[in-house]
Amino acid sequence: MQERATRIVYAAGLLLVGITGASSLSGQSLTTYGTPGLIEMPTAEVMNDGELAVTASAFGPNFRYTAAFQVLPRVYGSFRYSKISNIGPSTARLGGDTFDRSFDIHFQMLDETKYRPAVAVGLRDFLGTGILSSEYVVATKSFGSNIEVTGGMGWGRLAGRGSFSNPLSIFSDKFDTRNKGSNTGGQLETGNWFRGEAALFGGVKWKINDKATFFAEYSPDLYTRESVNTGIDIASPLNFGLEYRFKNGVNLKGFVVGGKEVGAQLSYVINPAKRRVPGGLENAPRSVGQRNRLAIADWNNSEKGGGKDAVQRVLKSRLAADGLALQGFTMSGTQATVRVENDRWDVEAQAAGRAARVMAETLPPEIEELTVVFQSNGMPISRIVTQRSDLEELQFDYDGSWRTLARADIEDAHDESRLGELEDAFPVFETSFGPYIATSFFDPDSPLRADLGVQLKLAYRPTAGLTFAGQFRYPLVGNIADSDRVSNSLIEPVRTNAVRYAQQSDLEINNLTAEYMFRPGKDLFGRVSAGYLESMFGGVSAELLWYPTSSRLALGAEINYVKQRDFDMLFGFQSYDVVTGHASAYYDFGNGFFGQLDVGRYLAGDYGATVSIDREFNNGFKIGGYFTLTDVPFDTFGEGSFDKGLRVEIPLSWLTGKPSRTTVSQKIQPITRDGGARLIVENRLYGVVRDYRGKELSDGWARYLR
Amino acid sequence: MITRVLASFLALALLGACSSADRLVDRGIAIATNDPGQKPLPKGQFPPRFAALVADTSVPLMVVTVESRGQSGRLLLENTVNGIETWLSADMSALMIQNGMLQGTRGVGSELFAADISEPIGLILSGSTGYTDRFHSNLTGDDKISTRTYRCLVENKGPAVINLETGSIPTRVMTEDCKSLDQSFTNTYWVSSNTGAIVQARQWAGSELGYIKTQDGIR
Repeated sequence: MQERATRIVYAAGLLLVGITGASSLSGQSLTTYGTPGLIEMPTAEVMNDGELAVTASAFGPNFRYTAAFQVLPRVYGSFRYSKISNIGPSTARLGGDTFDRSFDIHFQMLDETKYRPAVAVGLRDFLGTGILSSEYVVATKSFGSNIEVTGGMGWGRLAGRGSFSNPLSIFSDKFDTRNKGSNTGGQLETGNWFRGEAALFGGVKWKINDKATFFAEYSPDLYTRESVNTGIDIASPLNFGLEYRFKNGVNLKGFVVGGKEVGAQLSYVINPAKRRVPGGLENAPRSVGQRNRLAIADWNNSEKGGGKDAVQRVLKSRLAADGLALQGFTMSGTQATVRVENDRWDVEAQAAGRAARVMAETLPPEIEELTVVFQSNGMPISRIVTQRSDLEELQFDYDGSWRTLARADIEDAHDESRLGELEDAFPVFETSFGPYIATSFFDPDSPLRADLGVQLKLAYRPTAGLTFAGQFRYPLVGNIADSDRVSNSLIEPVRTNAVRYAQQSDLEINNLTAEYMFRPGKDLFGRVSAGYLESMFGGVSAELLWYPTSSRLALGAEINYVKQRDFDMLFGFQSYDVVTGHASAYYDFGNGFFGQLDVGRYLAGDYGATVSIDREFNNGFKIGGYFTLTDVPFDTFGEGSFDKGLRVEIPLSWLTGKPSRTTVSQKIQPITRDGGARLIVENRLYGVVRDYRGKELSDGWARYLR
Repeated sequence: MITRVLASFLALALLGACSSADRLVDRGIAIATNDPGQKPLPKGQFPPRFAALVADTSVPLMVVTVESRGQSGRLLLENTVNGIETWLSADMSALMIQNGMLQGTRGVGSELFAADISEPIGLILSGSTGYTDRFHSNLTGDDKISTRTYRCLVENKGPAVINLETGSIPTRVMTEDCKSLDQSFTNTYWVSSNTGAIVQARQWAGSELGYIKTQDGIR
């Protein structure tokens, strides 16, 4: 396919061959579809690697909200939620409005060179019900630094005005015909790609100055389906637009489509690889290295009541000032160990560096080997061993990050005893009370629904690893319960009754569990949880994870027996019960890509697998997606055909410049159905453990001395 | 365990709305200033680590100006380890200074993580002219260290008398003209003819922070 497409584009590209010097194409101008291009037409441009663009556009009956992500240097993908007003007759449901979710993908096959244009192939709305579907091959060439010319050939929507029979038909007659939307949406519409008639499109982008850009394009899109009822008037194939870039990076674009339809759009391109405050605003660490001064400090001086207990008190308060809770402390000979829980640092290596420095600035001069053990809920995960003299020598070294990493040891802490545990380390009682927002997307009656209320979280940990926890919510205002979407599921309604849960509950017991986390052996982690595990299910859950310290691969297994909870989200259960569980493989591909494969049985009793890929930036900004295929047939599954979704996670520190373990995260599921639904359990082990294993610690080591 | 906070996807769109520069000005190193334009932090509100330095009147003081932010303040010397001084501000950000030369920054949108300035130090303090290398490592917005090497020309620009809080001081002006593939800057040092030490300097702290001016001050 790719090769054929390339040939076609070479033909089209002949028209565009220029002679002026090459400049790199930057796809910072976005179309109404929210992807790099002119006004409506795509160009062969891509964004900078890793960039995330959000766009809202409106003209005529069309409203499009898009997030586009440059997944790889040559590939971007996008997700769009769109509304077309009155496309159906006004007597139809929702007054004829239609709401649609769609995905695009774009692949830049060739870079621009001095004489050759950049060439790309793309698919718009390749999974959905197909209203916005089109495919294209496109070439873009810049002339000087201010002008770019684009030409291409399109299929589907892009084959309206001036269309001709598909040139690909020379390969097969199959390319002659294109089916109208045939399935329940969500499936790959491969049978339609590059089929039916084709047409040419093209345009020019002129960068007037640093702030303003002018666009002119020839668009073959006739808006045939829309024009019947919406009154959209496409009188001309020529579209014009003018974009203004504000100082803060927001782009505002005004445009005219088809000669008469005036529109506007706002867009913004985020670079996740750049924290808003590089390096962060947290306090400067103390410099270390004056051991003589420490020798006479009160807490190290036995004549002034100093000794291990006094040292421990000072350590504890200094660690607490750095957001680290001291749970255990031992000191003998030239070696000292602290066992800490990290409550503040999103970059765990920085927590290790802070803890080691507090030790080096507190302990008596003869202590040389500093060991920091990270614990989560009292379960030891890893330990980092640093020589005090290395810290003193390298803290200001211009290559200190690499050199301290080379000299540190990161080890599994499975054999860490509870010797030296602080008397007041347990029990721990944690409580938090505050507001919450729950959201529900894509209900056509009201695409964004939300509840706002108050939330109470309690946790009681009588001893290391054992936690009793609960989360309670009381919604105050909101409209999630106003929805009249009832489950029309053909399989067990394990998720589609969300509205009934919202309607029939007042005080919600979201979860109420007893959980035990432990280390069964080297590189092994265990968890057993029981109780009301999540809002819709309760029961028991057991998990085992194998994760060597320096490994890119982790393997896990989880088995659960759960019963469906009553819609009032209190203590009762319904009759449905199920044994569900998965075998999981987690892999760090390097370069920021993480994969996860879960194979097993889902809540509705269906068997299948979930594939997830995340691109995680070194600073913790994460964008990913997943899909689940199970033995539930596509038409039984219902709208969307199978479960899939996107997720974004932003560390709060990325936004504020201040270290925090809090993240802002959102999962976007175009449609929530009952097939491929997985039980939600707090503290799945991989998420708890990964941050403190060797790969993640060394990735964050640039902040060890911060 | 990372707490997950549900937030509207619209939060993404809001990222563009606020600028970090304002916060840096508020914070930065401006807190202990006596510049009329800036609000000093009341003495009682200093964090303990800084208050301890304020209480000890023998602790040396340095006047600092960040030119790009029109911001100035006073730092106190917290510690000296292996010849590198840590100068702390009331808001717990710090500059690392070696023989009067900027060696690193922490908590000021910390671009310059550490510098190897062993080569230029010799020429600047001895008043000689010549070429040297200097090495910078920066902590990037993706939490990676990026290192750069600069080729620098150090020149003696002759004598000048400058007025500092400590009095009128005869100095020798030294410049250090540095270039890498994509960056260039010129540092200027005023070396006291009396003590041979740098008493005033204007130094580049990275593309984001720009030039920082440091001067000897009195308590």
